[in-house]
Amino acid sequence: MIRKEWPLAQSEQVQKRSIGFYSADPSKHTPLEDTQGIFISAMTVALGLYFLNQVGLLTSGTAGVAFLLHYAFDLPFGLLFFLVNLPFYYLSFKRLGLGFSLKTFVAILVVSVITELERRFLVIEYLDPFWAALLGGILIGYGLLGMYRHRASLGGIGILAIYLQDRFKIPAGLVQLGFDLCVMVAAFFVVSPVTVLWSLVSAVVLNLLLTINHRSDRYIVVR
Amino acid sequence: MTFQNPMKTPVGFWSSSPERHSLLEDIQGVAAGSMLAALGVTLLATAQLMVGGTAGLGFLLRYSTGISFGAAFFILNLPFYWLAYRRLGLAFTVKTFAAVALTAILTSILPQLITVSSVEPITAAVFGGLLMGCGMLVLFRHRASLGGFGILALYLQDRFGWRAGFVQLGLDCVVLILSFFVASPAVIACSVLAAVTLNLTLAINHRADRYIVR
Repeated sequence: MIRKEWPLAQSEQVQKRSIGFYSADPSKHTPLEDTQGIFISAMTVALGLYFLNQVGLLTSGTAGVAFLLHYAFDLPFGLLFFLVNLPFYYLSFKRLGLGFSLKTFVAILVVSVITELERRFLVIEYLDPFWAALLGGILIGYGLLGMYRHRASLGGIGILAIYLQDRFKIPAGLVQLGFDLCVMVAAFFVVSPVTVLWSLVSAVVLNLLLTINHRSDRYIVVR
Repeated sequence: MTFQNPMKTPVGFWSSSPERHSLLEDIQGVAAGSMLAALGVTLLATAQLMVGGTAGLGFLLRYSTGISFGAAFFILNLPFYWLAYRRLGLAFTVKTFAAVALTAILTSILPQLITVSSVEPITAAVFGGLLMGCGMLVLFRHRASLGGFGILALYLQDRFGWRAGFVQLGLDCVVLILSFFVASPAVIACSVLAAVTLNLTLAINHRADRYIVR
């Protein structure tokens, strides 16, 4: 991994500019930076999930499983998403530490709550399925990217993927893609083939965005 | 096969240096960043809100004369490309032109693809500001921008030593004062909330020492 030695003058400058919010060390996030990162990312993801839900599409990871159950049994998506992720916190705590697990728990909680609330404040009457897939994929992709960069995730498969990337250097995006294919196959039993096709578009956009942009040598924060 | 390093995966998409973006990386960054920004603009426009910058002027023209935001935004940014080319180089100018054009086009077609029947103004302000902020963050990290005031502010700082932040603040205040002619105080309060969300997102997260591409 490539790390840069920062000249003293530059790090002093950073320190002088800081107003107690910023980390003076570029390779660390302060708790406040993490908090805003997780909230912003959670809101972005929640909006993306809303777009997908509006057209009846599915998506990646445990959110995909939650969507399957949501469409099959008509239970609230936010609640399902929260419940589906519960089993993974043990792996997360064991492998990725308390900080990561706490941040992930908060991220999932915020996403669950916002997805249940936002439809009351933002009513979408019509949404073109292709654009729902594209914009939903981009929104969820950027949200997840923000979470990964703040060393959090949206639980479940994300945790598994980050663990596998840290342990075996398999890119997180590819693991997620494999699981998503399984979700898509299961989706054929619940929704129409066209819906599965658009969901696939969305999942590909999401995972491409993550695979291309999630580089720990470029965004240099370590934890 | 184990993947030693993401940049060595055999796809030919990634730049081998973490300090450089490849052309394809820049294209996806500019395209996706513009889409986020355009979605933010659409949300703000649904609630008749405004922001700072040339986007704010675009909103002013839209609400006062009824011409489309996309056209107003595209035209308003045209005078700044010469400055951008002189001061910030060809690559920045081309990427900024592409980002502005794409945002302008998308904001024109998105209302036909997404019909928001009702949105609570504070929700629109927070989500709209956030999406524009994230979009601009992506564009900044790919060495592009949404044009206009930022470029002028950088130029004035170079030329006369005026602080870019204050110039931008001054210009945004002018937009804000002008918006009192077309909008109610409640709308302006929500617009300020959107602008604060946008600029906080940028101010907190845009650190050249952390995202090291230059």
